[in-house]
Amino acid sequence: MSDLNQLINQARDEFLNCSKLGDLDHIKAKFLGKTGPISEAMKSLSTLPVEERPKKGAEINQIKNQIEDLLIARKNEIANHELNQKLENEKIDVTLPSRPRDKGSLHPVMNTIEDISQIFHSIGFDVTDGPEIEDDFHNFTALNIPKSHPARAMHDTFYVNKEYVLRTHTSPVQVRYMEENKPPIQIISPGRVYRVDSDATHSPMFHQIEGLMVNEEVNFANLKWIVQSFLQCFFEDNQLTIRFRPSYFPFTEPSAEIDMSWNGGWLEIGGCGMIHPNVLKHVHIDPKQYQGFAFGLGVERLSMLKYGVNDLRHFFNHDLRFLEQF
Amino acid sequence: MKFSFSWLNSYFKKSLDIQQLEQDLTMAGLEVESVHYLAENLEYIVVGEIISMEKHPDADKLNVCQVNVGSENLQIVCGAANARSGIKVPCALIGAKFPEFTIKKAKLRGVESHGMLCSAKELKLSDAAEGLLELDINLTNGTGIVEALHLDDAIIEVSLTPNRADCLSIQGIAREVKAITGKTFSYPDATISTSAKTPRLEVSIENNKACPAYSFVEIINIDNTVSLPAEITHRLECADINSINPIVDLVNYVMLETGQPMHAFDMDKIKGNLFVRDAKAHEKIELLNDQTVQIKKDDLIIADEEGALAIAGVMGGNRTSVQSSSNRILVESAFFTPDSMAGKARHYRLNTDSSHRFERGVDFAKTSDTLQRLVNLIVSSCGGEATAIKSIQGELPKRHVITLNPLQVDKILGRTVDLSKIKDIFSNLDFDFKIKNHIIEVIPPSYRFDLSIEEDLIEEVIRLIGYDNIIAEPLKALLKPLSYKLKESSYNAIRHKIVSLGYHELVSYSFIDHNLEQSLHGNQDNIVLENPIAENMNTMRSHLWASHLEALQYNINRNQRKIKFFEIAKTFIKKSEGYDEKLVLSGLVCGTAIEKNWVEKNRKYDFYDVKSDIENLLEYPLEFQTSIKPIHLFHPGQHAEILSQGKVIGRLGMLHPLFQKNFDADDSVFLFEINLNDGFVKRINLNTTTLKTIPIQRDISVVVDRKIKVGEVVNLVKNAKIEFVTDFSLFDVYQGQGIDDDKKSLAFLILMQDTYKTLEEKDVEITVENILSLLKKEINAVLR
Repeated sequence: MSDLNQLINQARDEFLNCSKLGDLDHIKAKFLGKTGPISEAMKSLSTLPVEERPKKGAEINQIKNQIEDLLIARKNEIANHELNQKLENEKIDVTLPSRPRDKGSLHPVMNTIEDISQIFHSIGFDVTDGPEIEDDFHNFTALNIPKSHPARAMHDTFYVNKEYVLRTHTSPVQVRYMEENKPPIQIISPGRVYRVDSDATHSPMFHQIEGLMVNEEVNFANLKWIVQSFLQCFFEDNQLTIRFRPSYFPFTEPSAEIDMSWNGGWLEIGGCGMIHPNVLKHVHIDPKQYQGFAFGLGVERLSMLKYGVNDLRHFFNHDLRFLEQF
Repeated sequence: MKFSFSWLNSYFKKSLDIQQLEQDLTMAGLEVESVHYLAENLEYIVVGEIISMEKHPDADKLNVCQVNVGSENLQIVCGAANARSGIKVPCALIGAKFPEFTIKKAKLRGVESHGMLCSAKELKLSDAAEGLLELDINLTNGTGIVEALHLDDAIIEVSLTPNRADCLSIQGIAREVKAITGKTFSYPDATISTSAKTPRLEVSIENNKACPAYSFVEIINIDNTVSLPAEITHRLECADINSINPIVDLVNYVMLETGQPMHAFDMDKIKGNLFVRDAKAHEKIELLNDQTVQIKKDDLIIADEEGALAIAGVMGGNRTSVQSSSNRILVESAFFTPDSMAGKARHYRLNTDSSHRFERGVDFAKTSDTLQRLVNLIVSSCGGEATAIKSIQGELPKRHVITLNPLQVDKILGRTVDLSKIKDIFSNLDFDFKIKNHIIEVIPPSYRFDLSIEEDLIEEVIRLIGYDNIIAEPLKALLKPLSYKLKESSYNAIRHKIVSLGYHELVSYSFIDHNLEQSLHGNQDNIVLENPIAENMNTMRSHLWASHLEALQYNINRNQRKIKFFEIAKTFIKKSEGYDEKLVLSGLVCGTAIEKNWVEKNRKYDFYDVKSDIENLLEYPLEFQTSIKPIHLFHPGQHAEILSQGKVIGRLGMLHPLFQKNFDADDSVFLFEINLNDGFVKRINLNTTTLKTIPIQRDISVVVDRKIKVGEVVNLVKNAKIEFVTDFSLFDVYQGQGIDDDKKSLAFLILMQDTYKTLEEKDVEITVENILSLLKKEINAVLR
């Protein structure tokens, strides 16, 4: 029996000396295999008297179990070791650059239009559009700016020919929409507009958002509310205040410039007013029954304020170093 | 309009507060653009006389001047070229403050200097620094410069809207101040002269519709070489009106004062009598600005028996212009109607102070009174004897009654305004009004051309109450669900998606160079602007590509090597009538697809990169086919039409190498365009039948003729609708060893699936066999 007890120590030593899972199986066979000492001892049980056999058998089994336990323990040890080794080998430098991928950017002016459209859409304003090469009637006459009206001089119009111009404002969309739809009306219309003007603060092409609301009772106080609420929402600033300043647009009466509080002063960001009765008459809406307001906002100005862009020209220079920041 | 604050102030008994004025005018609709204080930091600057001057011993360009400043003589070193003894100049004493320095006792190259002699620029009176500002020799030495030059003043610039021509004068502004504050003012003297003489010349008004009021006077024996009072020249200067000669200056002065443009003729140069008439065909005039223009037929002119002397209300002519030598003059004051003036100045490209006022409307009730004011000023400054004023009057504009229902004020504004408040406002505005049955009836003054309907009066009420006094009122409106699938939002979805594919969004001008439009797009029928901002921005583009190519060039020249642009904008094409505007998504790709890096191989963009982007972007099945009609802008071998459900929705191609060079690009440039106007709806053909079973995959490799296009092979199989085949796609193309020169080997992946059971091997074999025999039959494909 002491032989067998010694076997445990011997197995322990050999297991410990082995460091590969594959080799361990050979060593296992040496001890626990069919011709190994344990099997031999089991076979020799038959040579023992019957009454000793159970006890001896139990002892052999116990030794066998012990060796098996040692084996499993060693196996786990080696597997753990090998795993750790593998993990160690797989260590990478996470500070290496990532795989190259293309990164794009959205234009701040277009983002501004999207933001504005969503805000107005959220309160039930439809988003609509009109042509950019506009006829004289829709750009001027229907907006109460007859031919030779001095207000035409305010517009620095690009002419395509006698009849067509590049629209100088988004207001013609009002007319086009009201020609097709009857009150109640609540729309906004973002888009490109054109003026013959180019310097540090003027671009010959820029964007406006036109707002229009017509029903039986909407009034100037409502206009003030909607402009203010919109700006507070757009700039995410509930403290933002606006100031209306009397002004003149042939298609609104009364008319106002919209100034917004900014850095302790006032900044002009658009114009607005109650729709002139002549404009409603042009589109066959009875000004005695309906009234409405319209407003126009300069998109670039809002965009410059929101994103902190200090020069209008950045928007149209196409410089990737500028664009990729958005 | 620019004016001297002190001039306006002189109308009021109690001095106006300039900051309050600025605020008041702006909030009443007369936007004050700027207030320029003339006398800022000028306390230590006085009139100094250079009494002697000698060269600086150690500096060529400097002089040492002895300057008398009244109480004492100062030694001042000065480098100005016009410094000389005997002149009077502004002298900054020790302690005078300038933006960047304060005058101290100093040594310049060893010589003591006790002050500084100043230029107009240093006093901020002018932008040009052309030596010392030479002052009137009659000024007393030591007088403060503020007093000497009337600098205790400010120039106010008001930006006037076109409806407020009545404010294009000091008196107009004064009326506004009265309307806002209630402060009354008095007009300057316009004593009627008692001359018994009548004018020698006759004036015939042949078109009294365009000219319903014409007054004129003759003044003889004037001296047109006198100096006008400093006050008058200062006020003209503040308004940026150049001094010409005393008569012209006084005409301008009274125009600034009253808003009435007038004109003086040299009587000795008038041939015969005067006519206010419509121009005949081919009449010409040499104008005061030396420009000779052809007068448009039927434009109103002032003429003598020889021809045109002035384009009425716009500008006078050289032939009868008043010179300093003029001795006898005729002065006119007229009312030319806004209708007759409309567009006239623009036609001649002459926006003069006169035309600006007439086309917006001048007070037709004051034609003669204003002329009297001018005559009084001329006679008191230039001497001479005036005749009585002769006035010819036709039918003046009528001022109609406008009714205002006070309830309508509340309805439009969304706040109530007391009747008494409305009455106060109308009184301060000098409106002629009465109240009948709770309705206010208003007759607007002769100088207001902007009041004709009730809303105009409501605006008057609210602008004087102040827009600030309207409380924002939340909207009550119909709640109406709106589909979110607006065109707008689907474009925004595209924008967000294409950005994730690495594109940068551009916003480019809609106009390009017509040469580009022609050479790139071969468009001969361009939409050219009549008045472009520049020649290279004169044509409305039919594609966005030219703009993107310019953007490419701009960035290449800034060393950008990886460029992917997109833009959603309109393109413009002429139709038989009007113009067609198409919304397109357009893009440009050029340069490095994968830059040098440690983990994968670097390479440039190619056709298939862009094709993949487009397929990913649009989400629904697309087909690409070689364009039937090639576009000469593209490489003849690399261009495709993009089709959806058999319809061409766009194009993709490589820029022709000949064009590529023009834009400084070393790498191939790929351009695409997708029409967003029609057929652009995301279609979903939902298929759930194949979800239950597992697809089987087989690869085949066939050898076909080299000319055969992969798309044709794929379509062949797909269109044959062979049972179980759910996909057939290419994964390899091989040409070379082992394959004949006129052949190529194509490897395809076949996906097969049944709807209710997983396919058995024999079904798979039959299906592959069906495909192979189809390919064999149709394109003589041989299994490799």
